[in-house]
Amino acid sequence: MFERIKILTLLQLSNKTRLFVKGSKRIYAHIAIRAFIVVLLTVIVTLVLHVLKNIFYIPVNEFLMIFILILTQGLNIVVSTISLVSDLYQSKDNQILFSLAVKNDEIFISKILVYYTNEFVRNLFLLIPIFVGFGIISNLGFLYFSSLVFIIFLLPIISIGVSSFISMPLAYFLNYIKKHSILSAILSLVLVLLLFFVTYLVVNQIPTPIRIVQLYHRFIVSLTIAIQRIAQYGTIYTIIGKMLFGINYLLNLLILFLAVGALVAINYLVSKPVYFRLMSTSQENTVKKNKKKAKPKESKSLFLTFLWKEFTIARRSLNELLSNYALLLTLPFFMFVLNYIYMGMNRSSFGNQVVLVMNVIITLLIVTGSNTASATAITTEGYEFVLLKTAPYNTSKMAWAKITFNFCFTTLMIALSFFLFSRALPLFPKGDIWLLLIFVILVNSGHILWSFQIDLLDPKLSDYASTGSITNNNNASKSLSNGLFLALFFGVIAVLGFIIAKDVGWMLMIGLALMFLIYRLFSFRAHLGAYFDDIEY
Amino acid sequence: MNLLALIAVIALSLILFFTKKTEYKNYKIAKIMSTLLFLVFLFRLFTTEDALNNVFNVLLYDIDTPRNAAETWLFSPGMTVIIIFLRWLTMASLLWLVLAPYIKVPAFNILGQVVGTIVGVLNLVFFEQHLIAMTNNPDMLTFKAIQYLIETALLLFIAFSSFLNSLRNKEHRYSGKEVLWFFLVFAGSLFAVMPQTMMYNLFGYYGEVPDEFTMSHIFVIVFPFALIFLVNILMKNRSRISKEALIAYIVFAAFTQYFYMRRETLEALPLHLCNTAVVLLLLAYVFKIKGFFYFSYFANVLGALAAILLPNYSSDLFSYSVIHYGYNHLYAFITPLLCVSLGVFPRPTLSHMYRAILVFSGYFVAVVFLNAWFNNYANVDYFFTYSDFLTDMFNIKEIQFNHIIEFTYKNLTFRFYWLFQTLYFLVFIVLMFASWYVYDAFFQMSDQRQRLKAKQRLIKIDKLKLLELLDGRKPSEPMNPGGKDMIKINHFSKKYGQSERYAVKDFSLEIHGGEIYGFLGHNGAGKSTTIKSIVGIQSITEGEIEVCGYSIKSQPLEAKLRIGYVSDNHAVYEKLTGREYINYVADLYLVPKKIRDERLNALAIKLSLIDVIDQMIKSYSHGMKQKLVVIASLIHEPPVWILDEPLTGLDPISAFQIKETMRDHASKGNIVFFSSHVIEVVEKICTKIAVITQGQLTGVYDINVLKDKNISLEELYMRGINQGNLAVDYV
Amino acid sequence: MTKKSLLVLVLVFSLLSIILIAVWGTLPDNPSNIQAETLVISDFDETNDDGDKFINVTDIVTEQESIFSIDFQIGPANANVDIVASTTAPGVNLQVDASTGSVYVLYSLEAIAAKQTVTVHIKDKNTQIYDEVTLWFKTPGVIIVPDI
Repeated sequence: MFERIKILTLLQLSNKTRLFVKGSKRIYAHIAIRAFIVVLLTVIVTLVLHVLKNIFYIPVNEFLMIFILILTQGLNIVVSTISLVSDLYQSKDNQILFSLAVKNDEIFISKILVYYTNEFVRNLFLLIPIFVGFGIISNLGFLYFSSLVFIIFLLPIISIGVSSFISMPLAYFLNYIKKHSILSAILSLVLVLLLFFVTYLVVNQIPTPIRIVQLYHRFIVSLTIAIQRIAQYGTIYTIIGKMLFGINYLLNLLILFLAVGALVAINYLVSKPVYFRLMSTSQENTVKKNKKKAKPKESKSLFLTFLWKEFTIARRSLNELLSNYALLLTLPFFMFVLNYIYMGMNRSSFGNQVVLVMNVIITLLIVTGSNTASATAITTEGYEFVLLKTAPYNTSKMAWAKITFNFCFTTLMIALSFFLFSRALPLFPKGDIWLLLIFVILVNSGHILWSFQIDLLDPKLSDYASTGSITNNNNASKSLSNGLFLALFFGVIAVLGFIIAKDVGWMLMIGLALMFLIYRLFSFRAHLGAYFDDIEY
Repeated sequence: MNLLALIAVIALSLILFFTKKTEYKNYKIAKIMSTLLFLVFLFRLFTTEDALNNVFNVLLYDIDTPRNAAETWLFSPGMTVIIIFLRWLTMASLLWLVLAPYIKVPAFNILGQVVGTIVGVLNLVFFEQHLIAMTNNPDMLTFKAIQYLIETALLLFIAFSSFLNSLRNKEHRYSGKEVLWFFLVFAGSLFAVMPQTMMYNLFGYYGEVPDEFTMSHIFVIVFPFALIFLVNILMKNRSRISKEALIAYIVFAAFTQYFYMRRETLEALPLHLCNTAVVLLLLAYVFKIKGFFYFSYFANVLGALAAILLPNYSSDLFSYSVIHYGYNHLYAFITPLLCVSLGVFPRPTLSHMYRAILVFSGYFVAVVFLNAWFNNYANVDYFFTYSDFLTDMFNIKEIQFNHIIEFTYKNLTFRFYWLFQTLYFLVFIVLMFASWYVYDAFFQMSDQRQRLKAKQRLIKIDKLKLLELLDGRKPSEPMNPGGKDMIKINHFSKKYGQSERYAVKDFSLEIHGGEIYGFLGHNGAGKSTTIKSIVGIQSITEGEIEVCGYSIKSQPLEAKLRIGYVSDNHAVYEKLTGREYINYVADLYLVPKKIRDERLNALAIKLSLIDVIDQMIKSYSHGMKQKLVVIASLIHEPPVWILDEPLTGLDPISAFQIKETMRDHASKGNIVFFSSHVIEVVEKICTKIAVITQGQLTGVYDINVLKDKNISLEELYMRGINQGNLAVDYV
Repeated sequence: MTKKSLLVLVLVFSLLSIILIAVWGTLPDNPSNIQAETLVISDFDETNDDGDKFINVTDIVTEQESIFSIDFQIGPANANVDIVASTTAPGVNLQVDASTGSVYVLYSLEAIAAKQTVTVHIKDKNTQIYDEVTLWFKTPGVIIVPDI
């Protein structure tokens, strides 16, 4: 059994890292560079701790150590859980490994071992600097440094043990979600709303009027107190921290070993019956049978046909829709948090003008960042574009359908954000909110047309058809750059309009936005007429 | 004496007219004369203190004015207006006449001759008043008077003699449009050289200070942009020489307008960025010095824009200084931009910009040094590198005055605000880089516009061609009524993109109704290319393809309506159900609801897809998707059915079903045309076969004939490939 | 340009905007010129003969609850003060929250284990007015002996 596990582990390791050629000079150079990085990081961490101790007066003691352990290891557990879910259950090499003559739990163990090795190496860069830095700053002795040797090995075991344990129900949950895509969309939305609510609560804790210097002092004080308080609840990490600082050393050591042992045992026992089942269901693509035969109707016009198609496809790929417009979802957060802080400060009239300028820049950045869907609208037709080419009608209407869809969707989201915003922050002048809304919608519509035009002139149909992905899509990044340009351009105009020529501020902004939109509209129409028929797969 | 001169000049011109005949020499003389005129004019410009400049408010005198100005008047209001307008016209005529021999545009010539002659005569008639306006001294025997007499006489002589000369040449008559154009040039030229004190002379103080974004300031800001836009529209379709002429006139006008204001102090040296610009632009244009030009293109335009946005004057709109400032910066702003947009100077490359930065650095160092030096004698502040004008505006005075290097040399103190000056320099360099990106964006935009325009023209031409070919029939009627139930490929060739190689070359084929036509070829032979061109997915490089008599090139919609196409890849939206997909396609082909349902059901049953038709396509297997595409392609019962590798990767039952469908379709008198590289399949179901090898048609066979002669297709095919270029064998 | 870099950009802009408004866009805080007259720690258990204030923290400061807060009062309340707190005891850290008028004494576990006695010195830097309090783990029967 151990022999097989060893073979499996080495097989996967050598597949993932190519540096296992012994004796080559490169490996020594590699190790030397890594060692240097570790030393460098140690120096940096020591300096940072020194600053914390002597400038911020945050005590560098066992509590801080425990806090940092909780923070880093907690993060580690989250990251490990996510990667273990894909490594253990969704990885493509499962199909190879499970066809080998080995037991399922051996695969599980080998996979965990592979992950442990990688995690251990990665942890070295984090843990050694932190531990050594603490040792130096707190003047700790031999017992501390000698304990480090096995703690460094034990810590990844703990985080991976916890993660792999969590990953089992998580994988089950994800499989369930996969079958119920509506549920996942609802869940994401609920999460977003929850996040919004939490932000609202947290931000409301900030006392007004906000004075940044005072706030900063309070922040440091509450941070220090929080560190000490949280450290009490670090369970196993509290034990490790206390042990390292020599408090009840032997007892804590014993508890630590027992805990690690229990964790490993539980993992093994639970995974044995569960692993294969979870893995195989993760790999399956089940199809839900449509029970009712929806009879689609004949559309009145081609435009409606295209619009219906866009809508249906969007409805059935809610996750893609959400990821496309994820940035737009952050709009209410940013607007609310930032403006809460702005409003909290005791602004001068100049401050009020700057608030408007910053709102213009930041909302435009976020809003235009969400138009990548338009910048890949034709590209994502992929091979299906052939259909439009062979259709006997002027299929450029499809572009208008897509634009209408994107326009409606983003406008709705923006309006919703602004509505939420005006509700959540009644202090902000209402007139400015609605004028800003009009302005943002105008610019955003222009930007949608612009983005679409980019894709129209150079669609990456065959790229998309072969890869099915729009990551690294040139048109999307062009659209983002244009958005950045627009945000900065209108930022400058806002400076002119709100700070220098105050009387004409909004008139100038909205007038220019309207001109921009009209120009883009005409330009898009002309380009569509001239180039749509030229698009070739 | 002035009348004497008038008579003399006219007499001289007439004598010349009757004695000199050769035209070539005339031009050379004209060039010399006009240069001479310009030099004489410059001499006066640089040496004369103008008395008329102090005349204030002759027209609004009776209205409540802030200052009683009558004591500044030289003449009655009427005479003042006459003199001012005469001067104005003289200035415009002078530039026309100076430029006309060098840049041969009719407008300059005609306007110079006609207006120049009239103005010249009037100038001599009102010579005394002119003298008073200039020197406030009517004495005819002063140096100034004689000098001015020479200038005026010279102008009249040039204008009148060239007028006489053009009479002899009997040049063609000008059309109404051209006359209108002359008026435009006339008006534009007048605007370019308006006497800067005119507004002040006529109306006194008027308007508000155009700064801090008041309405008049906004007008001042918008005006240059509007002017560039307008000029570009007007000049877009004019000849290159007209564009040259426009730039030449502007460059000279900028120069004369700058020196209109008499300045003799050190402070007045043209070393301010935009003042330098007018001199540099003149030099750059006359001597084609690119370094100077791109320096002003990258540095002056920015500087001028900044000056227009944040002006440093404090008097009213009509005052001498504001108008002078306005003209100076207007020219510094628009001239470089117009030069490039009209193509008089080429678009800058990055290296041009680096050179411009180099020139700017030199200029900046010189200015900083001169500021340090000249401030020993006078208050000098070239390019704002010495005073606190900028640091005060941006509230950073500490930076300027806390970081000073100072040394003395022979009683001279040299002071450098090193930190402020370095920062200023760096900021300007950064702005120059930024302007490069702005320019580049504009170039790209204008290029794209050009391409769009060209493309739209092509589309229009294609449409006209189609109408011509249709010869009076409706566009919905076939171009070739004879080819109603056939595909006709006529010398079709296709190249991809910029590639030199033909993917398909000189391919001709006719396919008739009722035939199942197999299209055989090795991988990459050009099967898919040909098919994609037939169905209109790809463009046609050469030749013509007709489907049912409709040209796929010029009547694509009519042709496509008659084609059903099954692609080699599955063009299906995975997120739709089968039924939704078919419905979508049916919508595209405008198939009525009832018919589409009937056909869908019949075909789905036939291809045993009826059980899964309401499932999402994502769940379909390869064969199911293929069958779905087959249904989609037949939903409008096309007379031509084209399939690209339809049987690849199908199980025997699915393959059989599709083959059956093909037979059915052909039996109704339709065309079935499909490609394959499997000889057995083709041999079994086809009636005819075309073989394509490396982009060329290498054989067309009738299966029945082959069977009769007992020739194996496989053998034939291999032979065809080996020989490469077998003669087309219409069996 | 990717969405991630855009998000980073948005964050950077947000931070900059807050700094910008905080630095240039706010009205000057109304700094009162009133000087503090008193600074008193009023909440203590007992005093010794010299009047030094003592607080017994036995069972209040434990391994689970290592933070102790001392409240102090400034008179008048709107005085412009700059409070600092200091101690000479090892293993103990102090944090001042001037807005709530408290000094947090943060014990390390070692200090708690050693039952460290801590004297906290709270001072207004503007006026040099100060007060002191000593936190100690009182064992029953011990009498407070004044410092010699």
